[in-house]
Amino acid sequence: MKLDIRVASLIVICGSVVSSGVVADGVKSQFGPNTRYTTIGGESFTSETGKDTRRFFNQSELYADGDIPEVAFSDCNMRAAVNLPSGVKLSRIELFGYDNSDLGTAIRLHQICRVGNNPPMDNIIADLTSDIPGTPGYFIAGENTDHTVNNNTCHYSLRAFRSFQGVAIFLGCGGQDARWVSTRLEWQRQTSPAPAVATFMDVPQGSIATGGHPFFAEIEALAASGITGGCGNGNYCPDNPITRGQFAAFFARALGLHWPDN
Amino acid sequence: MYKSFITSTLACLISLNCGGVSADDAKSNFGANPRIRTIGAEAFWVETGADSRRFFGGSEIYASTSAISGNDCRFRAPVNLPSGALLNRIEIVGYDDFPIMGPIDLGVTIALHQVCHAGINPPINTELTEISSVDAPGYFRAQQDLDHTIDNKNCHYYVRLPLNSPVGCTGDATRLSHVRLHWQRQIKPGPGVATFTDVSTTHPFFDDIEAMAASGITGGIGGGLYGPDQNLTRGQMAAFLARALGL
Repeated sequence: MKLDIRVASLIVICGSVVSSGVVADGVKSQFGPNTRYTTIGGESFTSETGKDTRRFFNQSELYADGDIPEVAFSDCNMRAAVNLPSGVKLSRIELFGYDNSDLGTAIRLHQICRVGNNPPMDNIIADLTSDIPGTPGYFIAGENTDHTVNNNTCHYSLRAFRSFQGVAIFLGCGGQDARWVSTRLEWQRQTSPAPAVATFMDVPQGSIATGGHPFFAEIEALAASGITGGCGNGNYCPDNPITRGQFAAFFARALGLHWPDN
Repeated sequence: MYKSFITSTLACLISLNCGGVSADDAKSNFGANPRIRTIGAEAFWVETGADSRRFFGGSEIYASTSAISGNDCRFRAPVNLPSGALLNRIEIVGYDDFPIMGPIDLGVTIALHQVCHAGINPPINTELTEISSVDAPGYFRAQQDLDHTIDNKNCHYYVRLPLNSPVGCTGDATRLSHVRLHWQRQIKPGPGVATFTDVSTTHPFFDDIEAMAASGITGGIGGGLYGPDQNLTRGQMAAFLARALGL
């Protein structure tokens, strides 16, 4: 208990140094297996068709202008490209916005995949609407997902449109009564599932209980990414110490390190 | 054919991941192997004038025939790849069913451009490659190889998509589904003069160690040495990782 208080105090001290309100969680880098966030704001969105009905309430909250004459309903739909690293797990999507209780906003995350010389396949990964009818105001809506990002054959798009009484609709602009503040994607890097057959003789497949190597998945991932070819004779030598020279080779290959241009 | 079927079935059974994501699909952006970046229709912006963008089936971009002029039927999207990466192929996937107009058979064309600033002179806009749909009609896939190292210091990149004919926009008879960029990370060959006296230009890890030094990840172990044959301690590894990844 005493230790916990000390830790908490330390965090408070650290946090107070950053006066702009940035907490450690908010500025986490994009590396490591822990949870990461990508927030997509209104300026990433493009109008889906025809007239550009985009307007920005208080310069940051996106809404569709309902007062433009001769505007078609579909002119109020908008979309944004989503770029997450391939192979990461998308675990949650959240929508922040404002609604007037009847008119609201909705977001769908689509995955569009190429299928050879056939029409592409369009999958809806998540479907969020602002809350059910209630008090007008700002809202948060969230949905958990379990999706591994595939940038090899697919791309991702966020589609924004109206909702009415908590149900997603594609009709009509909402004006300032229904606004998108941002969409937050929660994701984690993951090590790819281990293959069936071991690449190296001294790094056997399987769990530790069945005689497998504890770092089997990680070592296979290094080999599959072209970062290591082992230590020769079909071995990886997992228990050998690594020299500074060998580490440089691993690292430069993994990151594609380049000379800065002069 | 048979072998690849067995392999993919096995992979599905063993990885317990039969949701359509193969190892290739979920490859990370790291490592020396080939990677692919896919650019979808919503990344494209109208080049000029009235926005003629429409989305067939929700995901394939085409130019509305009711647009004002041919200029309104052109679109562009930024291309963001890591600096220093090798871009070696561009591939387009779409639909082409436009009627032949006299001697001209119009389809979908994508051009990849590199725009480099030239100080106080006009920028240099280079068309790196151009790729057109094959004469279908129907869905098509077309690709073009190239050999270009990305330079994000002086240049930016975009793909440009004309979806027009001499008489205006082509409507949903020609559509772009997406663009795939094939790329891979590479390590630039080391300089003529070695940074560390114990890592000569002929050392097997010369390029790698020079790259680590040039990127600010290592300054060596002092005295102009890198110590390539010394074991890496856990502490040193932590320093390398944290600096390199900006943890």
